[in-house]
Amino acid sequence: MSVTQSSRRPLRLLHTYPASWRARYGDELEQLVSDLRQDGRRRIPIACDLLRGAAAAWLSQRRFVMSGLSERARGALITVLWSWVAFAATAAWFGHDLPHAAQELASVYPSGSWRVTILHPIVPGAYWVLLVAGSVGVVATVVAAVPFCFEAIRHARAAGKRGTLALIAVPPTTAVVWLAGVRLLPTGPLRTTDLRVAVIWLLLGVAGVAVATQAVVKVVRASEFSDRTWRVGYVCATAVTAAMLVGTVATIAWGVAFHDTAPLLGGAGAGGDLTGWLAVTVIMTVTSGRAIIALANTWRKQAVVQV
Amino acid sequence: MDLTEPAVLVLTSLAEGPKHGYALAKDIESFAGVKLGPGTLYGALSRLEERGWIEALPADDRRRPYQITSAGAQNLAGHLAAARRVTETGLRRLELRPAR
Repeated sequence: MSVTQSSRRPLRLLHTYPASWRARYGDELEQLVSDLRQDGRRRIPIACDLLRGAAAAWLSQRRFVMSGLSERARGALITVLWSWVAFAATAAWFGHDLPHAAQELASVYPSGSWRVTILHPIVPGAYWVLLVAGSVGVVATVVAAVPFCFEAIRHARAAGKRGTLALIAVPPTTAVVWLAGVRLLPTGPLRTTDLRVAVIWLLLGVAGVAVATQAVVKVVRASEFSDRTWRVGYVCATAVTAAMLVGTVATIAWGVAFHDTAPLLGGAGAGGDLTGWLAVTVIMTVTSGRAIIALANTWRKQAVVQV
Repeated sequence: MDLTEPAVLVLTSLAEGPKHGYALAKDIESFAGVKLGPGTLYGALSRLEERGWIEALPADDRRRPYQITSAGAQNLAGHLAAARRVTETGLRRLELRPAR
């Protein structure tokens, strides 16, 4: 092995450093490694030291990215929250209808309904994927809500902001009132009047969700939170966005499979009515896309600052 | 303030005047007997530059010299003064220790 080859080996380790770090110090560090090698420093200690330095650089970069996250994350988290609320409402409606769609398919094609499952196992699976994705999203929302809520209350009490305290009370109050109303709704076969009341109550629920979300947004905008809380919020927003993406892909796959499978079974109306699915897919894609762009922009802004 | 040993060595070396990476490594080796690796040295340089305690000068080829800033000099002085107090106290107490 030539001396040149041997002396260049540690230089390959420079690629283990973060790209932005290399862009700033890479040339200088490469020169120093060459100088030290020519000076007689041994290759292995240099390599070990470079690896340790790379690990420190990555850790330092992570701390840098996470510090001062608040202002960059505030807007992104609000966008993700609104997107998630719209997505969850749509997914709940669509997911609720999925088992009915499967039953409908089975009744239209009684002799071959099992073939749907065999040809496209994703058709019944989409319901469970949506359920799991929705559960992940709800859990992540609750995990994020706890520290934000505590710190918002502490901040509002310290600053004497009664309006903020009132806004914090809006989501739980809305939920309790709406759920209490649901319990009062008649069960069993519904008359026309009962159906009207149920629909009105459902619409009021949607309005309540929008009002509660807006209240949360105002609280997030008006309060101060610690870096740790922003980090929790950012991680949870990433989990919610990932769940939305998975749910969207599952819904698209369900529709394509449903559309492809039904004609194979023969019979009138093969292909099914996919108008609802199309609308749901568009809403899910748009909301997921908005959330992904919001989170990605946060990182892109950081990269610009860092360079 | 919290200064790591490599950062103190780098600041102490730069207190004499601007130096590039290799000159720093050789100077530190000569006055402290410590062979700083390239990763450790540049880790310290990047942290110190981020804090504004040193600043980069125009590069000569791929060797970029660094110089200590007034904030860096102030922090180094504070650190060394504290270290001196500890050193003097330790030495004094060792002298006072009864011989066995």
